[in-house]
Amino acid sequence: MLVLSRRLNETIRIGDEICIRVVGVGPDTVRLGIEAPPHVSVHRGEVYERIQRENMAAAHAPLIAMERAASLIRKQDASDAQKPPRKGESHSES
Amino acid sequence: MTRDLGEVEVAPDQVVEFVSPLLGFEGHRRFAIVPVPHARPFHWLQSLEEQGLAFPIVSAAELCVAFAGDDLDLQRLGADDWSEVDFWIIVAIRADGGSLRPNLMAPVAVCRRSRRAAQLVLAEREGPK
Repeated sequence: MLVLSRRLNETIRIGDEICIRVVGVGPDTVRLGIEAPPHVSVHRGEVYERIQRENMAAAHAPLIAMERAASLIRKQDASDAQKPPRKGESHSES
Repeated sequence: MTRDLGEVEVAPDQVVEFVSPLLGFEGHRRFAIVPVPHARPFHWLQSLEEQGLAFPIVSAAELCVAFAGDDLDLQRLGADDWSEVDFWIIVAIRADGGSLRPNLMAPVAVCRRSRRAAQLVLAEREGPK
């Protein structure tokens, strides 16, 4: 791994298009400003990894699980619809 | 050809092209959004490049959830404003179907006009201070 020391407001350039600037230094955090072209996605490492894990988990659901989950959602909808209206809600009686 | 639905005819208006890819699936750009029979409100986000890759998704409108990104997202999606953009939520489903985990941190935005799509990581947006 390449390791570079930088002071406040100093920069690092990656290739022609990406520039990283140290914009703040605290006791245990560093704030970085990142300029990159639109096609380069920039994410915090832990957020990237969490979303990647969620995507991987979603990609492995079997069809039968989806059908069962859908039927549970529909049952929930149906039981909500059957509940009597709460006091104060308007409903017509014939 | 789909992972679980056999061969399905896909209309051009069901095809999307990712301009910001699904994280972890950077090599996959072309997908179709197809309803899953017998499993409303789920749709498949089915890769057109790899038959075995498909994600269960639900329309954000169906879940009454609203999202918005920023102007750069609109530009990437080729949209003029957010009214042209639909949001879909990727759902992780436990193998027995008994529990669902919708990913509200990173919805999939689709411009209806350009058919461009992007997974927007909204969880970490932070303005300059």
